[in-house]
Amino acid sequence: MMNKVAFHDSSIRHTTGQAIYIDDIPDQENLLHGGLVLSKCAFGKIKKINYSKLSNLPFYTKIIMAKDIPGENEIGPIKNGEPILAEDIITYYGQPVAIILANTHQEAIYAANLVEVEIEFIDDPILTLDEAYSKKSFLDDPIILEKGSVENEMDRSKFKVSDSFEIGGQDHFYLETHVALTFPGENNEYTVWSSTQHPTEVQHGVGKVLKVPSAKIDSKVRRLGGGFGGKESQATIFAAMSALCAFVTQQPVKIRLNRHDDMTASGKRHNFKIYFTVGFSSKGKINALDLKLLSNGGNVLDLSGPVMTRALTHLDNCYFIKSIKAIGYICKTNTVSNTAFRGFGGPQGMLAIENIIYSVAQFLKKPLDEIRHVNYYSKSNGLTTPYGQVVTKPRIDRVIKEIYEFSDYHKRLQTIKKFNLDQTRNKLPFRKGLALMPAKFGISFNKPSFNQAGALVHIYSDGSVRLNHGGTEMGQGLFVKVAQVVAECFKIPLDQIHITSTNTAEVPNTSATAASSGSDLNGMAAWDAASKIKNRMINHASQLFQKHKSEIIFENGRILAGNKSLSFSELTFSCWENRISLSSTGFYKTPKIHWDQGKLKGHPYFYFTWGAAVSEALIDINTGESRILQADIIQDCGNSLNENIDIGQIEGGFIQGLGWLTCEELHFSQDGKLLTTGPSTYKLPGSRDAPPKFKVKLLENADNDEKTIFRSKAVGEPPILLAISHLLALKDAIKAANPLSRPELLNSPATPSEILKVIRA
Amino acid sequence: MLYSEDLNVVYVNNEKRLLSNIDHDITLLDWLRTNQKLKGTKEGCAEGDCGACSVLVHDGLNSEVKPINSCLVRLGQVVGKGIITVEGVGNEKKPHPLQTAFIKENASQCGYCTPGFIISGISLLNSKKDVNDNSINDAISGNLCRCTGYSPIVKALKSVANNNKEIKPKHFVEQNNDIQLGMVTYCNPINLGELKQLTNKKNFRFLAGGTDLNLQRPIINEVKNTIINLSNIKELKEIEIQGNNLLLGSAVSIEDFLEIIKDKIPELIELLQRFGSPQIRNQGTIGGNLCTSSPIGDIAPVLLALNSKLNIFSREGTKKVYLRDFYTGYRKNILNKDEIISSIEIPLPKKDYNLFCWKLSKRYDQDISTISLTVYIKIKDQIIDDIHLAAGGIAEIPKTLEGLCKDMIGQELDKSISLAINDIKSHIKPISDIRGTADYRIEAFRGLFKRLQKCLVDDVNTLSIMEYNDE
Repeated sequence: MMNKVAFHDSSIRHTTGQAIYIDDIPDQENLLHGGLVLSKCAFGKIKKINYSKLSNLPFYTKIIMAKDIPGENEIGPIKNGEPILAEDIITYYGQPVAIILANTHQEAIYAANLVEVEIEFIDDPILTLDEAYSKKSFLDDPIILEKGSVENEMDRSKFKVSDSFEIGGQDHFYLETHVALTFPGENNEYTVWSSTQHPTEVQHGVGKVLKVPSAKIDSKVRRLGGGFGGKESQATIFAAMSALCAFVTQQPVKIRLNRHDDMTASGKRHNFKIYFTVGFSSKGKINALDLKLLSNGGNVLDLSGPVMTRALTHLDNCYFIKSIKAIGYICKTNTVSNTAFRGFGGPQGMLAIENIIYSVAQFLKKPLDEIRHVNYYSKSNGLTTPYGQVVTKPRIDRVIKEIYEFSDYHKRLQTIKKFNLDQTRNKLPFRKGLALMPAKFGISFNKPSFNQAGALVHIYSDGSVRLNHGGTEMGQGLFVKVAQVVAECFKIPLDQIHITSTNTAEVPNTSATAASSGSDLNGMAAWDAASKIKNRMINHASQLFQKHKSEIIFENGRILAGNKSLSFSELTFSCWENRISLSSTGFYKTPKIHWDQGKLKGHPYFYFTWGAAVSEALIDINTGESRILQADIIQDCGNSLNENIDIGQIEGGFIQGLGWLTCEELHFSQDGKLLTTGPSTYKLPGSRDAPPKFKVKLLENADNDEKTIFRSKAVGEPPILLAISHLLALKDAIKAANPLSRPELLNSPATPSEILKVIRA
Repeated sequence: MLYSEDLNVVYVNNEKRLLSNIDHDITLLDWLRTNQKLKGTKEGCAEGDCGACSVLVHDGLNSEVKPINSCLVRLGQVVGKGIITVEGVGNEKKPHPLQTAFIKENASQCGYCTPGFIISGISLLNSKKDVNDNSINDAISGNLCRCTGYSPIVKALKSVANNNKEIKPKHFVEQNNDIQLGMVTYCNPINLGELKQLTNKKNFRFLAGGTDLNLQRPIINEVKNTIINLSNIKELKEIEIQGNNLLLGSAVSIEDFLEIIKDKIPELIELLQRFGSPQIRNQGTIGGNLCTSSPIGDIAPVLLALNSKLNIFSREGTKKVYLRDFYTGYRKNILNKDEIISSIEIPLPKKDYNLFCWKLSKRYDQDISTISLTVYIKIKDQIIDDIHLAAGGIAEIPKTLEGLCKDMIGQELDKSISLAINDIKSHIKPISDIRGTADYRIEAFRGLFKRLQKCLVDDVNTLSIMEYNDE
C-alpha cells in the first residue's frame, strides 16, 4: 500500500481544538436547549408531572412530554416497548419523564430540576440479578447454547467443580456525552446531527417518533467524542428527543446531556453473574460445562439479546469443549437498560471460561497454562465450536509461541516466584502475579443482515476525490483507513481524498459502526465504489492512449500507458470532457455467514482474530491496592491497514479493559439510584494506571485467510478481552499472598476492597 | 464599589475581552464556549475530574501560567486575569511543537480530551521541571483519556522535552473590580481592610478557590446574593516561617503548599501530589480545603496530627483555635458566617519524630481517599515516647485518635502496634459507601498499622505500590 503510514485524518484539528463536535456547531439565533426531567424513583406509576414552578422563572421555558409525541413513543432497536419518555410507569431511577426547553443549556438544566414527578408506589424495585432470577423477571426467553450431552459427560467426568462469580458492569465514559441537534426544514424535513454510531437507527427512531418517512430525515455525524458501543442504540433516544422538540417548536433544538444525566440515563456494559459446574479429567480436560448466565438487561431489552448471544458464542474462547449447556437469562431489573459496550458480551463470556479454567487449575493444583494446553482447539481435540462453526485455521499456537518469547514469560515466572518468596520471608507486603491469556474473537455481526455496507465516491474534474460511506468516526481511525483504501485503488496520495461526514442522505440503510466491523465493511464498499469509477477511467484511458486496458497502469498519482502518461487530475478532467461518470456508489456484503438464532447454530463469524497477552500484577497485601507493572500483547490484525492506528486500538482497548476489571465500579443506592455519576466517584484508569512497561506487537505475516480488504483483520474490540490476563495475574498474586485463599472467587472489578476480602478469606 | 459590566475584562489568548451580555453566574468554561465562541475547550464532566476543560490562567506579564479546570471556576473569579486556551497555543497553520508531537505519536483518537492534554502538557513544558515519566504523569493526572491508554500521550510529551516553545503572557492585567453576573455580585477585596468593609452586608458567602463550593452553588440564581472572593487578599497569601512553625495564609493554593513542603516537610510530598490534580491544586486553597469540612479532608489529618492552629479572622479581630476543635460534624465547623480562617500555623515536624502520611483510594491519582492515616511518632529505645494519630474516612469528621494514642504512649513499639492492630475496631467507626465498605476500611486501617510496624520495627521503608520500581 502506498499510504500505509497515515495519521488520523483529524489529528491536527484534535490537537488545536479546531475539530468540530456537535456541541461546537455554531448556534443558530433561535436555537433552544433541552434539559431532561429524570424520575426520582426506580419503580412506580406517574400520578402527575408538576411543573408549576416554571412559570415563576424570569426566562423562557417550555415543557415537552410523551403526550406531545405525534408518532410512537418507541425506539426499541429489536423489540417494542422502549419509550423515549416515560408515560405511565417509571421503570428505573433517573428515567426521562419530560424535556424542558430554554434559551440556554444552563437554564434548561436548572428548570428541569424544578419539575416534580409525583409517583404512586407499585412495588419495591428489583435491583439485583439473583432477585430478578428468583422472581422470573426476564426481558426475553432464555437463550440456550447446547452441544452434546452435558449430563452424560458430567457423569463420566472424574472431577466436578461448581461455583459462581460476578462480573461488574462498566460505564462507557466517552469524553463527549450524548448530544443531538435537530434542524427542522420545510415540508416536514428534519436534519439531525447526533453523536451516534448508528445514523440509520437515529433516522428510523426519529421517523417513528415524528411519524415522518425516512426520506425526509437526514441523519448526520462528522465525528463522535468516543462511542465504545454506548452510542450504538442509545444515541437514538436523545436524537429522537431533540427531533421531537424541534417538531413541536419548529425551532432548532439541541439536547446535550451533562455527565450526571448521561451516566444516569444511558445504558452501560451488562453486569453478569455466572453459575457453573464443570466436569473434567485428571489432566484438566473439560468434558462438560453446565452454565447459567444471568445478565442485567435493565428496564428494557435494547440490545441485550445479541449481547447474550455473543457472550454464549465466546464462552469457548480458544478451547474445544466436548459438551456444553449454557442458558443465558436476560434479567429485567429496575436499573437503566444496559447496552452495547466494546466486546458486546464477548468479554463476559470469555472471562467466564477463563475463570472456569482457573478453577480447574486450582482444583488440580496445576499451572493454568497446562490446563489451557490440553483444551485448545486443535486437530486432535476438535475444531468445532459449540455453535457449529469450524475454527479452520486456529492461530493459537502462533500467538502463544510469540507471546512466550515477546514477554520472556518463562524466565519471568521464575523471577516472580523468587520475588514472592523474598517478600514472604521478609514479611514484606508486596506480591506479584503473572498470567498469560489467549483470545479468539469472532468478527461479523451475529445477525447476517447487518453485515452490509455502502459507500459513495465522487471525483471532481479537478481530480479531487470526495469519500463518503456508512461508517462513523469515533476516534478509531476508520475514516483514514477507508481513505487509504480509496487512495490505494487510484494510487493517489492520501491528501487528495476528502473525508466527509456520515450522512444517511448520501449512503442509506447503513449498519451501526460496531462489532469491530467498520473497516471490513466500509473499506470493501469504498473499494467497490472506487473500482467502478476506476474501470471507467481505464476504459477511457485505453481509448485516449490507444492501448489495451491491461496496459493502463495507475501509479503514484499518474496514469501510465506505455511511454505516455497523464496525471490523475488530467485524466479526470478528460473523463469529464468526454462525459464519463466520475461518481459511483459501492456496496459490500460479508460472504459465507449464516445463523440460526433459534438453535444458536451456524457460521456467524466470517473469521476469527487471535491475540495473546501477558500481564504482571503487583498487590499490597496490607491494603488491597494493586497495579499492573507490565503488559505484553501480540494481536493478529491480519495484513494491517494502518499499524499505528491498530496499535492505538490495542493499547486503548487494553486499558479500557483494565478499568472494567479493576477500578471502574458502579454503585447503586438501595432505592436504585446510581451514585457514581461522574469521574469524581466513578474512577476510570488515569495515566499512572497504564503499565509502565507496555509492549504491543502485531502478528507478522498474518494475512487474513478470508478475502477481507487487503487481507486485514478487525481490531476494535478484541484487545479489551486481553485485559482479562491482568485479572488472572491478580489472582496469581493473591494466591501467592495466601495459599489458602480462593482467588477463583474474586469478582470483578477487583477493587482494593475485593482483593483484600479474597486475601483474608 | 460596583462597576458596570463592560468595565470588566478578561484577557483571552493575550487579547482584551469585555464582559458583557452575561445573564447568569456562569462558569469560565461556558463563557469561553458560548460568549467567546472558543470551542476548543470542552466540557467532559463539569466537576473538575476529566480535564477536558483545562485552560491556563495567569496574572499578566512575567507571571506563571497555571492550568485550571474552567468548569470549576466562575467567570466572576477571573475578572482581570489572563486566560490561555488551546486556540492560543497553536492552530492548524502554526501548530505548537507539542501539537505536532501529538500527531506524530498518534496521541489523539476521538480527540475530545486532546485540547485539555495539550494545556496540561504546555504547563509542564513551561515549568522548569524535568520532563520525565513521573513529572508527565503528575502533569496529566487531572486529564482523562478513554481512547488511547495514555502511552502515546506520554511519548508525545517526552519527545518535545527539549523542543519547548514557551507560551507566555504578553501584557499586564488590570486590577479586579466588583462585578455583577446575573443575580450574583462578586466582590474582590484585595486586603483584609476591604474585606472588613464587606462583611457587614447581609446576604453573602465567602469563596476561596471554589473547587468544592462551585459544584454545590447553582449557576442560575433566582434571588440576589453576594460572593466575597477571598483568593486575591494579599494577607491571606503570605507564607512565613515563625520559629518552628510554618505560617500559611489560608488562600495559599494547594500547589504552592506542595512546593513549600518539598523542603520543609518532605514526608508530605506524595500525599499532596495525589491531592486532586494540578488543575485542582492551582485553584483550591488550603483554607478552603479545611473549611469544606469533608470527613475525608486529605490535608486535615496531617495538620491534626501535627497539632496545627488556625487564626480566625472577623470584623471583631483575630482569634486562635486548634484545628482539632474546628470540626463540629459532617461538613460542619465552628466558623460563624462572617468569619474566615486567615492563616494556619503548622508546627514543623521535630527531628526526633517520624512522620508518615498515607492515603488509600480506588485510584492512585486524582481520587478522594477511602481512608487516610497520619502518624507522628517519637520513639526512644523501642518505646513509644509520643504519638499523634489522625485519620480521614473513619468518622463523620477527620479526627485524631486520642484514645489509641494514649494506649500506645509508653509502650513497647512492636507490641503496642500489634495491640493497636487487634484493637482498631474500638477506635474507628467507618461507614460503607461508594469508596469502600466499613469492613474494608477497618481491614485496610489495620494494614496501614502493619505498614507502620514494618517501617518502625524493621526499619524497612515500605513504599506504596505506585512507588515500587523493578529496577
